[in-house]
Amino acid sequence: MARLLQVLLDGEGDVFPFHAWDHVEVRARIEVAVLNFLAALASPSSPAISVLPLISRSSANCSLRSGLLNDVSSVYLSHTFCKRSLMHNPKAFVRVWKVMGMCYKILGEGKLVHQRELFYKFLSDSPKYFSCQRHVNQAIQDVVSLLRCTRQSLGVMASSRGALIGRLVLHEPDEEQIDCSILGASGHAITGDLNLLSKLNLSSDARYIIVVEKDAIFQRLAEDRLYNQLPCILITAKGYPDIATRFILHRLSQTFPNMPIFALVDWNPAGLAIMCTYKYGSISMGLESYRYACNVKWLGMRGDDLQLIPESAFQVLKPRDLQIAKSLLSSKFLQESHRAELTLMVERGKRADIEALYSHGFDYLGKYIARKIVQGDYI
Amino acid sequence: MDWADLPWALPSAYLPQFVQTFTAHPDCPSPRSGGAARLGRAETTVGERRDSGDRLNDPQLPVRNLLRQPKHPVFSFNFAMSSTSSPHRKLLHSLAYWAVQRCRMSESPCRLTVSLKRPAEPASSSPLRVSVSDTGVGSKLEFLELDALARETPAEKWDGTLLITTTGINDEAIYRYRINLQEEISSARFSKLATTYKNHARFSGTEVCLCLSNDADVDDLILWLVGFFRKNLACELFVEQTGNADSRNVCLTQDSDDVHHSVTASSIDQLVSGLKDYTLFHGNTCDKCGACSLNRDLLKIGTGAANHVDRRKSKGLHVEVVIVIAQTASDSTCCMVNCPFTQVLYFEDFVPCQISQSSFDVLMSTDWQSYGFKLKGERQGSQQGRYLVRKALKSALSHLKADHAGDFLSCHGQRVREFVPDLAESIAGLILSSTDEEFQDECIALLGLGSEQDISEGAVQSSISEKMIRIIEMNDTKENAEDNVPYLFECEKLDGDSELDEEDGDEDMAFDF
Repeated sequence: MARLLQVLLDGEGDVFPFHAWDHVEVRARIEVAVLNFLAALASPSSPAISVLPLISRSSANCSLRSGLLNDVSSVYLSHTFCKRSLMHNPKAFVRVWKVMGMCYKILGEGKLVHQRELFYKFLSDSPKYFSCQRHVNQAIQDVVSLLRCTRQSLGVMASSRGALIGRLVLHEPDEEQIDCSILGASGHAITGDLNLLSKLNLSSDARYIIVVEKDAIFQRLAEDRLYNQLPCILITAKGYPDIATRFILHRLSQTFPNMPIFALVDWNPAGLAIMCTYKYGSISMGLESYRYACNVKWLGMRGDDLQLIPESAFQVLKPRDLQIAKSLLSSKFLQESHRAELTLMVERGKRADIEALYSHGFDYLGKYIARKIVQGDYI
Repeated sequence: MDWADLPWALPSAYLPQFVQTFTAHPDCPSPRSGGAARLGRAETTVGERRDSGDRLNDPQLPVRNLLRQPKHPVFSFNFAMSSTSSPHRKLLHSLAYWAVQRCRMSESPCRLTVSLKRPAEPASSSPLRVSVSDTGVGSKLEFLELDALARETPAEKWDGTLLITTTGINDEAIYRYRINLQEEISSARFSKLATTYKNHARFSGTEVCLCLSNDADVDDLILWLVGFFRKNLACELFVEQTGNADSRNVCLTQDSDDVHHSVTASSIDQLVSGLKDYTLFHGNTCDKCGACSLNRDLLKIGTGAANHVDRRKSKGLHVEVVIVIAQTASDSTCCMVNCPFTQVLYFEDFVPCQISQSSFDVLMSTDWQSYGFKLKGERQGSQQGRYLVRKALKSALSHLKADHAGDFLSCHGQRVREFVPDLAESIAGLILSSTDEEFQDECIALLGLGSEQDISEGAVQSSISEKMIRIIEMNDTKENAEDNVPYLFECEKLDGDSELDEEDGDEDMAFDF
């Protein structure tokens, strides 16, 4: 396999013309990496320690592209690279190789390891290099950028905090069916295993998918069984969306292309940022996350809804909020209507949570959502 | 490697190439006698090296002493600046230094002789007659610098008088002078005495005679003198007491590995040799250290030189730098093993002196880190044209680095090198964990490890490790080492020199914004 790839490499400039999803493919790429490294090391004329070129995971290297067959735009990382070299940053350099070695072994054993488990393994084997989870996560992303594969194809998965509930039946092959409309208020926990998620059979008679920013709101709506009044599927990542949640959302949107997706987020820059991540993908996992971008529409909270909220419910925007706002405003993908909303947020200097709507009663939220959908009040 | 604080107390001339003897010298003018010194007559020949019997009687003229190769081997030396509180010692120190300097400048083998003649009775009021003579270049009457010393020395210890006989190689005559440094009337301080013509004989040398008080501590003085010279080179001491048929002979033969050191060795080689001894003797703070003298060949030496010739002024400046590094194993019996130190010895015209400001500035501003050293303490130095010193020093450091690859790796290189074993271990582990034999064979072949069965992970790791270290060492001094580093995979554009910062790149739970 390594030889085959070598032949491919001798072709054009672009090393790996396609992203690797397959474990076998990724193992082969790792082998090529090792062989290239050793060849440079042992070169008779000019021995050298190779530098690792990683696709740059920065906003400078990110652009927006539109889907060909749909109106989904997504973030993608282009061809700018940056380097990892032993001479400049030895620790980070060694981390990349350690992760590659570990993943190679994991793949050889056909396992799937959790990011957290990996951290504890490294913490005991190589504490000098991995003292926190962030080191592991970043090194994994470096390997993803180097080999141009996905995290899961390295045999690593991250847990998901996501949950869903509503008019959806999930059917894992060889397993029982799960009817998500009869679950408790915490819903069905979304697994971090993308492979498993990809094998799920989905069936639904819902008409809408509602993405909820916060767990508390999700649980409120789940308890009230909103999906029995409004045929929908509720999904949340309980904060910043992780890959698995986005993956399943994407699958839902693919499986049920006529189901619009609505976002229910707080009135603050962070809420908008979360919605944008579902909508366009993320830069930090830009190599793979663009694939899970969905056409999400902003239902609420929005500027027009502020009149429904008592003045006392407003809070001042914090510096972090302003930083996020600034970053969003300078990004390439923000559509005009969203930009206007964000500008309004910044101008007023205030933020408000969805919970502020409870001032009208705890069942107000369900009605608010239903009304908005029916009136087509989303952007 | 740490440089300890850099002390600037600088001892002595680094010159070898002569033999010292203490001989009894019957001739020494008494102070204020005004009489012509019986400094010997030009026609007295010395020629052979005498044995002790002749010495007692022979009114030698040391000026004409041995112009041929000394029988004794040549040594190089440095002697430590011991505290010379007594004026006698200070005086003898200075006279000896100048004599050494003159010998050195003559660039041919010379002889230095110091003689003491003391009266038999310890309490006698007769003076101690001292003479310092050498066969180096003629004196330029540098003794006038002893002014200050003369004034602070009580007259009863030394009357400030020196009788000097000197001749240069091209001089037609031997000149004699009497200098009285305590004399206040300037015209009376310096008087020229009778001149002797050389009749075309070619030689050079100087003799300085003086009388010192015969203090109670003359024995101490002699002991000090013995130590003073023994530590460095001298090999024989004869002390004679006048009026007494006995003589005391103290032989202080010194072993040196440079026994056959050529007399025509260049000054830089002599400096190397001298510093080696100095290092092994730990700057003369202890007697020969058994543990270290065995390590003479394990000293690491770097040398460098630079010169500039100003044709208009027909003067030149020549700078030589020698670096000697001794590493003692932690289990050595050496007395210095727990107190490593660094010393800088600075000489101008072969005479030790305080380091010049410009040279000091060069030392302070040199990039020691590129050789793996760290300078303790910071001092700001100005950077005006220290070109020669800097060039010589850099040359010496590069020489050290080139000869001992890996020992003087820059600080950055050392830091990177520390990570090599872990990196090699990771890659070796990866290779050997593979179930793909073809892949493993290919890796092993690339490393040049041969095709034996069952290559161990340790062997693979060592091979990778060695190759990486060699590359790091090789690129350490290259300035453009970063330009041609290959990328692991081909890539089209590289975003300048951008490096992913440790802090960049969030977990996927965090915001991109």
